[in-house]
Amino acid sequence: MKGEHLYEKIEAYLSGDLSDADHKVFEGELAKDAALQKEVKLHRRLESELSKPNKKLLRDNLKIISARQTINLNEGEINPKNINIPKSSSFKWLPFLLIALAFLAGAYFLTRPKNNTVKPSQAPTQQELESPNQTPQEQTPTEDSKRNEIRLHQASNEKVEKNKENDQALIASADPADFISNPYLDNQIGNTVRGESYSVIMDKSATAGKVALINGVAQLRLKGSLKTDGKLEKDASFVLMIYTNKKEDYLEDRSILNVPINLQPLKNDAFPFQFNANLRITPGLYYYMVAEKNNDEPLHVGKFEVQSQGR
Amino acid sequence: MTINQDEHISAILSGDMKGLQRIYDLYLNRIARFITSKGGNSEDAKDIFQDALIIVFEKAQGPNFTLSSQFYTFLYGICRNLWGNRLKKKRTSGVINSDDETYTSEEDIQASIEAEEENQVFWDAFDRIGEDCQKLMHLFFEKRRMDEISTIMGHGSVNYTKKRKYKCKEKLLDWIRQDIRYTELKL
Repeated sequence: MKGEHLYEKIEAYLSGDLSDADHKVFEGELAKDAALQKEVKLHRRLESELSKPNKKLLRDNLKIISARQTINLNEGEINPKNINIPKSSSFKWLPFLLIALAFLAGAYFLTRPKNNTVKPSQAPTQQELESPNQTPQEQTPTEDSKRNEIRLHQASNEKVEKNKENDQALIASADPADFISNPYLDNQIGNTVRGESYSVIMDKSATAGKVALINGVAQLRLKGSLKTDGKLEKDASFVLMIYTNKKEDYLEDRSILNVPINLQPLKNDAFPFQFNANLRITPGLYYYMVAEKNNDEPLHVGKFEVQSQGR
Repeated sequence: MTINQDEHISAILSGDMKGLQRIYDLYLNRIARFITSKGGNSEDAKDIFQDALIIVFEKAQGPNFTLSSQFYTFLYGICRNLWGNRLKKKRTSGVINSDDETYTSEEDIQASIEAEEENQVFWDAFDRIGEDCQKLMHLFFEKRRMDEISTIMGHGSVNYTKKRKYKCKEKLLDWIRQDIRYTELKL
């Protein structure tokens, strides 16, 4: 049995159109013929795939749309002046939601699992953030700020420098002193991307451009606000990530820091936030990124240089 | 911007051109920004986007499917995994030499991606058999009667249509068997 006849037999078998007697005979042949078994499976699989309702139509239409679609990588950037945000009066429930969010973010922060890129022997676990409302401190690290230092994750297997003063691990992350831009992140700088419904505007006055490294500590002060087109999703939470300038660290998702952002109550049509941290990092170029937690597409990307004192 | 998230799923399930165009208009540029930021180009982005929508189609056909997150978040997760897989393949073929892949991938998305890669073998063969055969086979797989197909195709007789159908199916299966992925098909 071969050719057209075989195909018809297989099709009739698969659609249950064989007589009882023929069905029995065919099954007998199948049982002793592995090649025939394979052939039957191939026909079955072909038919089940190509007969899926609308799949051909979907594929055809996607091809048509895709061929005529042009990509504009800048579309979706938002000019802050053009954003119309509903007035806060219609969101009386938001402060309650924000308190809940802040609480959840805090709980997450305290209980979250360690980043799996961190080597336990190299990365201290203590991570403390200053209160978001705290007044920025003087540029000289105080005893308090030393306690508040954030020990960053080691991003890759670069050398770990030791802090001579307290001999605790210092996380050196950027390629020291190379200050070379990461093109992937540079392309996104300043992009204030509208997420599903969010955008982030950074406050220029507080955005770190250059950060001095004093006694091994870089005081990073970031300030910005999150705008929405009307509402915060129930489960929305946001994170701030810091990357080194190394291409592979970004491409392979190895941020050196990933912490929740605590949003403050709605003010001037946006939710302000601050990020104040004393970072034990080496001189070099770093990038920060604000993203939605469950969807790490950047809402905003910026960069800062950490420079040795006197540089 | 109010989007009924289910509208996107309906558009994908029904193959509705207008609804699909809307999905492209809303999300392609954002996915492209992600892909280009991760070492791909615009064409990669379009490919990934197209493949991702087909995976949404497959997942949405599951009996227990509900959209548990925003549509975009769902789509983005699939694109991210697809791109991670593609990078991995490029690396193993020596195009990119870098450290271990650290893309986190959700298991069920990965399973869907793998299943769709297998399905692709059948569609790639289908794309190669010529328009006339495609039309005939499509009608055949829609379970139309042979006399109906014969009329639609404008064939003179049902017997001729049967012969054509056999020839077309043979071509289709030949392309599948010649595909290097054929031996890996879970048959």
